[in-house]
Amino acid sequence: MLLSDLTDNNLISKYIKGDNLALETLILRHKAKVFTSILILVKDKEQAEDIFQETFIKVIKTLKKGTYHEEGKFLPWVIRIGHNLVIDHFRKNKRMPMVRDTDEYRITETLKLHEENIEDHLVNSRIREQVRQMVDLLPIEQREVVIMRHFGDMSFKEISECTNVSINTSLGRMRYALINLRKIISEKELVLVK
Amino acid sequence: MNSNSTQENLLLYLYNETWMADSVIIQHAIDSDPEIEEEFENLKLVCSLLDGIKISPSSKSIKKIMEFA
Repeated sequence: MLLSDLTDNNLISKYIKGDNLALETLILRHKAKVFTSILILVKDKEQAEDIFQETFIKVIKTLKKGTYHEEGKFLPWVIRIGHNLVIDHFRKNKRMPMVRDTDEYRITETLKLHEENIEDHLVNSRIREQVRQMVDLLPIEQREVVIMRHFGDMSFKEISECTNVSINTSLGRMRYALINLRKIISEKELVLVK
Repeated sequence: MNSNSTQENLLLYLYNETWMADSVIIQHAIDSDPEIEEEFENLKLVCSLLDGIKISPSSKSIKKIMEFA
């Protein structure tokens, strides 16, 4: 059986028994989601790389200590570690994330659009980058919910428990995040090719 | 469904967090109300875009982590 076919918990067990390739498989499986969730918060690639490394170093230390609980889901746990490290980073640098705002947030940032025709794959990667930039514009509570749901694979119930709000509040934040993003797409007349 | 619960239910349905029986009711609401359908399609579009924005870290970061391991 290939390592890539194993579940997260199986890979963790194998790593604890000494199989480093199992750990590497686990990291490669989740690296994009974890990294993107950090990058969206810190908005700086170099800082995101540092925090990404710190995140998995913490993960490794916990696995080696034997204090990781198998019942929990691995990815949401790692996302939470990364999230907490980002908050520590902001505190250390005396830098606050975007000011908490109301859910009805008016997006006014402009994005420059290229109107000339380009190859499909260039169009798609530009769209991805533009969408990522749009997520950067969301209020922090909405970005957090987006990160936890889309990259942390957390349910809305788990998100509400993690952020100490009601499930309705989590749903409301996600709804406004999607509405705000949709508004920007309309305002900028982005042509979305899927 | 009233307005607030409609919005919440649409989102739960979009993210596959509803029970089967609720899913049937919500799908029926989407099929029979153009406004609800439009809202659902807008949410679905943005949702699918968000799924596509994953960015990977550098291989240098992976190497440093594995060196620690």
